Amino acid sequence: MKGSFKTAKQHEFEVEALPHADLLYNYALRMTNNAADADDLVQETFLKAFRFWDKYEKGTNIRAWLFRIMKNSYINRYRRESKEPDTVDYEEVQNFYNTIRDEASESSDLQESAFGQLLDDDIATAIAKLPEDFRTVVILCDIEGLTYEEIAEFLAVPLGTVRSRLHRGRSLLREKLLVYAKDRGYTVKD
Amino acid sequence: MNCREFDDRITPAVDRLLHGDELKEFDAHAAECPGCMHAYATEHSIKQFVGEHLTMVPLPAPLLATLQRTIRSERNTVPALLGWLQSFLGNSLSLRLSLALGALGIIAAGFILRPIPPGTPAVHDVNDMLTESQDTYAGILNGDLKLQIETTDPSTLDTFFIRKTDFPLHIPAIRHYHPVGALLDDHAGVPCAQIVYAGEGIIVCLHQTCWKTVQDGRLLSLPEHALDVLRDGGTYSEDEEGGRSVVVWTDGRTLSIAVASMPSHRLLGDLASVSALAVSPP
Repeated sequence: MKGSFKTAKQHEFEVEALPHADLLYNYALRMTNNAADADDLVQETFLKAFRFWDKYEKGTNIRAWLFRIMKNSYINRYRRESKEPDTVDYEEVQNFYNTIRDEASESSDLQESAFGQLLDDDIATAIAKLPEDFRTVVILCDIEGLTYEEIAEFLAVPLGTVRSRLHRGRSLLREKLLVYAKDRGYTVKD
Repeated sequence: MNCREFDDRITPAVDRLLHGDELKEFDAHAAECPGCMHAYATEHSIKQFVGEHLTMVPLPAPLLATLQRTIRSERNTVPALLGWLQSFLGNSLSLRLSLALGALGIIAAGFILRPIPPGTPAVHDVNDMLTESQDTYAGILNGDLKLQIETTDPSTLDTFFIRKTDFPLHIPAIRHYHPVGALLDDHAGVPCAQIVYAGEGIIVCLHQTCWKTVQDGRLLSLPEHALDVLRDGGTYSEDEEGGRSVVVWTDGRTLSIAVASMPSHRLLGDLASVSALAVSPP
């Protein structure tokens, strides 16, 4: 290491940016569903953030700034690995959602019983398999506890978009969880 | 409130964001419409289920330590070259690209600043090539070392190095990166080529020198354990402080050392598919 002293920039960065590493780590962990990949993504994000610290506009939402750097890094990684980010068929999801209303085939109790068969890993995997737009809002809202306003700022989208993605993301997640419950031998009606 | 209006409010209701009259109307509709009530209960149970099973994970202490170490080992200023390259790479507009490449061509035409006079080795300490390659990498990033030629064209780089080295120069294709320039340096009077690649905002520096001279150990050296791996025909790699890594391999008479700000497993992965864009004989 090149000396143990800290420069003013390093000190400022450590005080202002590093406390948000928790938030970014959890997002990275749920997006990648892999601790090693999450580590890499967090390191890459903070290294970029530090190098471009001069570009950060003081007083603006630092969490949103860091989040955008991480999201771009995540997307770049997809490109590097020649994977296409998931595309979302919103109509298909909406159709699925509408069937929930009609089917009334499972009470909430029955559903909870089915989900009770699942392991935490199943749930993490189901979330990791959601299309990216939906996955992001479900992670930020239901795991990290961010407000709609903050998520909207993170993603630079209107509040209504956050709400609709959350609604559809949860519906799609339910579908995936029911599939996993069936795989674990629990009988649920389609 | 009708079913469509209810549907629009399910998510904010689940997140407890409805209040006052809106909440009363929502509750009233749910009480008289089993389908809507079921839809609400479904989304509510999903949120609750996720929240119960997937809680926030504390940041691992080793990761926090790594972040702190990385930040403290970084230079204070945004390296001029890195900043330029990243803004260059970050803009995919063909017009900007054409203009930038045109400018590079003009710069390259008059940019050979430091040709190494042949046959003038001086007396030096033995240079450890791992240390030298990392210092060179840092010098390139922080702008202390200037590229002597800036081009993305491998054949132009190839031409630049002709008759300047006593080993065949290899300019490989590296997955995700492309050459952006090069410089010719020397350690203990031994020519050392530095080929700089960029991609995704990361700089990879490929150092090449004479493998025989390194094996000889009088002017250039490598740690014994690295030499053992290389003599066996293997690839040596190690992770350095500050998130950097080096990967070393040999190809005939040429020793290559790649340095980049990424873990060695990633750098190894990117180098796994190298193929020669050009090979310049001495």
